[in-house]
Amino acid sequence: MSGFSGMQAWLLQRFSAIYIVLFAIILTMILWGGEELSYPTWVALFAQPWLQVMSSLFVVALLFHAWIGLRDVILDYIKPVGIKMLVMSAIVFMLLASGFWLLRALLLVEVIS
Amino acid sequence: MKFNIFRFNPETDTKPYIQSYELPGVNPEMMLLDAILTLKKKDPTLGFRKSCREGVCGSDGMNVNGVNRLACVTRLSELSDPIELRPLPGLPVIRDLIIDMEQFYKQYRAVKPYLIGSEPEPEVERLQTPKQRELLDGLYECILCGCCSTACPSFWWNPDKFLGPAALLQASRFIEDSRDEATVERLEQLDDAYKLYRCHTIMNCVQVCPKELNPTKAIGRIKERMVQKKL
Repeated sequence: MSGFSGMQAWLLQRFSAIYIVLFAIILTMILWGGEELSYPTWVALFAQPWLQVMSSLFVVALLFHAWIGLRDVILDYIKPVGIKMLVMSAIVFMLLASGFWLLRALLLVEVIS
Repeated sequence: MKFNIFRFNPETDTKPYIQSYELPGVNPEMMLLDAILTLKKKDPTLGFRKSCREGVCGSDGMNVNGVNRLACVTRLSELSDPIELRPLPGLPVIRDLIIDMEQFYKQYRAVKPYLIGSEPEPEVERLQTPKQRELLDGLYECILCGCCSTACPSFWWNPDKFLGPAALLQASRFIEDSRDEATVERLEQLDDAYKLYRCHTIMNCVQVCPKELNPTKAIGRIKERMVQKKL
């Protein structure tokens, strides 16, 4: 029902957290050190393959991390199985939709540049 | 000194209520349990559990000014006046300060708190090296008073599915034991969404344990062992 065993979820949450922090640091450093941000520089920045790969991985890590966190809240507080399933499905839908939208944005950068 | 005590007798009361008692001229170095025993002389209807009166049996766990502790090892001088006594939270009240600990014991039994082995019984004791024995320190001392599990929100929400800090400390005690042969089965049994992983490391258990044990650390050790087993 939860998709993962207890330990898998726990490990995934921790590893994704590490990646999210690393990515956040790297991105902050790039944005801080680089030239002034405009639309063209932003597109050029994200059109670089290495940042594309890192950003895609970031999206995946973020989705897993968010899923495990929200799943934890649901497992803690929602008892009736029906409502539990409903809320979980709604969250999966929302996360997948956000994920695809983000990946689409990344792909569009490639096309535009 | 003033005491506000949670009272409930299912035979006569429809709802629990707080009853106030005054105990004049108490010695502040007196233990809380002695004060309650004095109160019981005045009002024999007051219900609570006690036995060894020295922090060994774990019978007199109660919520004192909002904190779970053992009345027999709590000095009055540590407490602010008025003293509010309530039953340990999260489990059904049988009467006054007496709770039904069946759910707590059920989770304790669920971790099979005994050595499991298939080897025939040896002629002498099952020996351990001092190092192996050291791993059990901080785990075997638990007296099952229930202060930790009844201070744990995860146990309050899911007392039937989450084992709770006390039972998990016991699980760790047998996982760490070099003489136990069921380590793998024990770890596999705990690897689901609820039994172990509802712990969110808020450490209420550590804060209240009257024996100063650290169930959160024990839970962390179980998680470590699980990862080690997988790798």
